[in-house]
Amino acid sequence: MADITVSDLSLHFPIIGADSQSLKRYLKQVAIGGSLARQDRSSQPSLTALRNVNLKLGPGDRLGLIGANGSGKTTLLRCLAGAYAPDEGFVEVNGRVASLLDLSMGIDASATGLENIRLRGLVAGLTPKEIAAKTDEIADFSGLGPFLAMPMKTYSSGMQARLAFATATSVEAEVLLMDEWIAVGDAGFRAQAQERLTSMLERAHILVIASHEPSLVRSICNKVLRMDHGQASEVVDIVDMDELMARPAPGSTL
Amino acid sequence: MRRSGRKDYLSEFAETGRDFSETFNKIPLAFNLAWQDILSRYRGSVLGPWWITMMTMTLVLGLGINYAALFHQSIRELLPFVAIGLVMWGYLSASIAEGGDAFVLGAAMIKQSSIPLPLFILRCTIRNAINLAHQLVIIVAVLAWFQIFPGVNMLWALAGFIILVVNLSWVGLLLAMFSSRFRDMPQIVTAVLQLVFFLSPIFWKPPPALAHSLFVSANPFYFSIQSIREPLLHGVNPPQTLGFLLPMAVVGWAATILIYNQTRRRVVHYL
Repeated sequence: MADITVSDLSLHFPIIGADSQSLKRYLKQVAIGGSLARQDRSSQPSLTALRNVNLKLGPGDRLGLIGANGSGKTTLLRCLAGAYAPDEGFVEVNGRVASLLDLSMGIDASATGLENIRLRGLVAGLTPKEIAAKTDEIADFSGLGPFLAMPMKTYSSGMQARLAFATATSVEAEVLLMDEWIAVGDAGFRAQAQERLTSMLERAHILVIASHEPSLVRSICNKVLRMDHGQASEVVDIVDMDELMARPAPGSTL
Repeated sequence: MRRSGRKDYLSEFAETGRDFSETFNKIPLAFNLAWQDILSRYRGSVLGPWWITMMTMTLVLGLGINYAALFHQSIRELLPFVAIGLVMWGYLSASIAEGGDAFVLGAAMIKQSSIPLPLFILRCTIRNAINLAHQLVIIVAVLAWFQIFPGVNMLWALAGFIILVVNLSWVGLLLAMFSSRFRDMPQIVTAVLQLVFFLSPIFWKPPPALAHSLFVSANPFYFSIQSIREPLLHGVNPPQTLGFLLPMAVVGWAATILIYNQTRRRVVHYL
């Protein structure tokens, strides 16, 4: 059974300036030392990206994350994906996770669509045999047909989105994390996606999607959470979304 | 999957241990990523990795024959020496250079999944092993030509190779962590490797006069290659294999794990 628990999650980003990426300059700093090294290591400047976030999701929940740019939606998604380790609190995700946060997944752009399916399947935890068995189903759902044999660099972003979505929902992932890019899909794809996402409720899976579009959130999600400057509201039912939007922002009391 | 804040020094080791055990559970993923890397590197190429085999063979023949004449050594003595030296050096230097880039290459995956960091080093190790497999034909061909049959001594060479792989892994992981923070490292590493290549007896036999120089008596690169070369050519297992390289592997991994323990949470933020 899939479930997600986030408790008192806080995350700080160390601020590393562009010029301190050079080892040469770092070494020079150390060699000069003395009065120039005013800042000791523990006072390295950092940015608080998430502050005391709490949420609990169970099977069948589809949570929409809403908030302005820079409020921490993608950061929270990355914490759920396991990419960021919390500085305080904890994140617990049970179930196979498929994260659709970066369409290309770092795969070389000359790789074909089929190779991408294979890679995504492997990252999601399937064996090569299982992927081979599912490839036809994924190919059908993506609607890309002969394009699957062509390199990803020939795809539009909408096509990439279709492929990524088809793969992620076919690998029996129990937790699906999406950043706002479903908007690049055309109307036909959106209808298909919605149908598939709704069926995830029947399969007792969890969806977390970050979005700016209230209508998208209303059509897909059954719960919503609002973020502002790294702070989150509580999880409310989708019917209370208007009330949640009308309230003062969660970070405004700080 | 459970991720929590840093509690204390010892609990981090449990997390580090979990990273490594998850890596070993995901060996098929590492293998497929490595295979995908090789496919994309040689996409559109006719001979693929065999180009490198051809280039290395040409170098082996050129250096072997010329230097034999230049330094009045027999081709029979020098050519197999050069062949094994160049092939193993190619593997060694590629492993170190690519190891440093392992996290940068996998940045997209590190930033959106819980794939453990050591897996990216394993991917690099497998990828380089596949490339090495294409070069081994040079060693086999040269040994067969000169009718050198190592027999059971191949086991010593294999042991030397395994110790080499273990050493390259910790060096790779260490460099990967530093390179994710300091983007100059890969260039520095490449420059140092080039220097080491010329200063070490990889493709030239050290004369007895140089036996006490550091490049011959305290050179882990030379020892690593000798641990494979000597058993194959002379049936001798050099003492440095078990006396130097094995302790180096143990100490190296111990130090690397301590540094990994401290750095593992930070890597994603540097990328």
